[in-house]
Amino acid sequence: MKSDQEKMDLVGRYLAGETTATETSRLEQLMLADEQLRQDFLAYARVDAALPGMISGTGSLLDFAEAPAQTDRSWKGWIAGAVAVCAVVAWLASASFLSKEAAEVAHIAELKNCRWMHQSEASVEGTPLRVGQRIELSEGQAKVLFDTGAELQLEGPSILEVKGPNAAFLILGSAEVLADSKESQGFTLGTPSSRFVDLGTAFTASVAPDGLSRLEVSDGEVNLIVDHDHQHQLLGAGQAMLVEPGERKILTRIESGDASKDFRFPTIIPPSNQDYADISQGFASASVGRGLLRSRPNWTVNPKSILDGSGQTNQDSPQESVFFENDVKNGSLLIDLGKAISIAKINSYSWHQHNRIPEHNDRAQQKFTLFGWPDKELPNLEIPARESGWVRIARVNSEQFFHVKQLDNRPSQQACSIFASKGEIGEYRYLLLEVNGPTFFGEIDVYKAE
Amino acid sequence: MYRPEIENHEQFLHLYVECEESLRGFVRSLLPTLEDAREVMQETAAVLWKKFDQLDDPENFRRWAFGVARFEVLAYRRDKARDRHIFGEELLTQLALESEKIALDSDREIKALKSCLAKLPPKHSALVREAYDKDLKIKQIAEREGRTPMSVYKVLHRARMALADCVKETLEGEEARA
Repeated sequence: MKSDQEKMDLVGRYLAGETTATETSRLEQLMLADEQLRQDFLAYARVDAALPGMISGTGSLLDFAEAPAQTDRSWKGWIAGAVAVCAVVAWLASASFLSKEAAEVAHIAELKNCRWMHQSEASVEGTPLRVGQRIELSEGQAKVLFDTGAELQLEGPSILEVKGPNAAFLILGSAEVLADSKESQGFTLGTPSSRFVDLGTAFTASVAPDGLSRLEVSDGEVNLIVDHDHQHQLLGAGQAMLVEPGERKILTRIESGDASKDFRFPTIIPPSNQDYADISQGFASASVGRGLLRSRPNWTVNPKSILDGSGQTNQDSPQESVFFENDVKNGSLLIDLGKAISIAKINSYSWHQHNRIPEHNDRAQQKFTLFGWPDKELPNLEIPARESGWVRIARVNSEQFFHVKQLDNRPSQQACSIFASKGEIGEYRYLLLEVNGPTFFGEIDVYKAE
Repeated sequence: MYRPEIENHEQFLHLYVECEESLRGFVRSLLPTLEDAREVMQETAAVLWKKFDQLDDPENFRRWAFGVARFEVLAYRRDKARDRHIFGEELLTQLALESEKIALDSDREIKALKSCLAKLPPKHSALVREAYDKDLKIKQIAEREGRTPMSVYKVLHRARMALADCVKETLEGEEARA
């Protein structure tokens, strides 16, 4: 660096977020007058920005893509995007990240209809895999067998890095893990937002291009550890969890209920009248942000029903549910909490099953993006929340969660619980649910942080 | 089979990759933390991709990308109310123009950075890896290492400066040999 030490110390402190307003202003004046300092400042910032991606193997090109719900791109489009991402990642990774001394800890055990994004060593069955080696699969399935006995079935498009004798990192895509031997116990699969530690079991993990991670346990138990604060959640068979990327690490749990008016779920508590947003507490109100709620000559859906402290009393009760007219594709519901409060948890509940036609339960699904707004003055609700400055809290897609492929395998009663891995979700005055599909909400509970 | 979506992705990625590192550095230079920069880069890339169809001429991609990034940084700061770190318009424009001009070959720069990282003293290299791999805060590293936060900060600061110097020298050396 050609700039003097004092100036560079100021640069370092600025990029560490440590400067006072006076120091920031001084740095600004110095840089305006000094081209060399600007160059050194930018070079320093580029190093700082590139290191996380280079060291952890993530964070570079994978940042660009959006989840399908946000971009209106189709799932097929996403796959195509992911394939393209894989191609470029492979290209950038061509400057081998591998150490010649790295130990062989696994091998490719089985390949099915595979197409690789990069002509690598891992292209035939039996190929050994070293620590630090990446597998970049654009199509098909590849089974990786660790020497500990842990099996990992990759589904293309996926990018995986072998991290150790009993550990891997899923950068993108989907992997099924079976680690039921004594030696493989504790197998760890890292993702950009969390780590999944196997406790003698089987689970599936997936990672979207923007780092949204999903864990689904099919057998035994898995510890989900959110990075930074080492908070963990223990998930048992049949349970699943989403982890949003970002500083707060928002977790989303979705469960199916017992399809009774008691709304019983494995771990999520039933609808409550004790939450902060309940009508009886006198603080909050609900209204429509965008779109038209269902209306009939003798009744109209009342948005307040989602804050009345209870779910529906039967499986097909339109007058106790909040839902949109059939032609509304992107409606939104607004909850005004009266003032900005620190939120600990948000639970949403839905229940819909036609009394005679089993296939008619599509409104049971919960597909929405939850946003928060801290100030009293709201932006224009006709503009999509992403474009008007709302803070995205979580994305919910119960259809994906329950692998709904046929109408009759959709749970008719569902609950979704959104919370932070540690502390609160954030401080917001308004919550906005941008709904991306049919729904039949019975209740939404908002719990204030203590 | 003609698959326009893939063609579109490929063109986007090609253009994006060309300016990604300088764009990332620019965004990072205007925000107080790496996490902020990461979020804004994510947002910027999403906007670029979403509006890619509206770009008339791929030749203008770089300028357009820096304009979008600048807007996203300002929007982010406004939303997060992190005003105390805002540079004025004049410096912001200057930094954007200068970042835009840096004709970086991302692949070469990343390779250079990797080789420079290997040249750091082992203790410094280990600390850098710990800080960036696990994205730990200085205070957390200090606790784990039994050091003061100030000493950790100083080592990381010196390591970043050494890396920036080393990358510059490596790239200049390669160019001189070419």
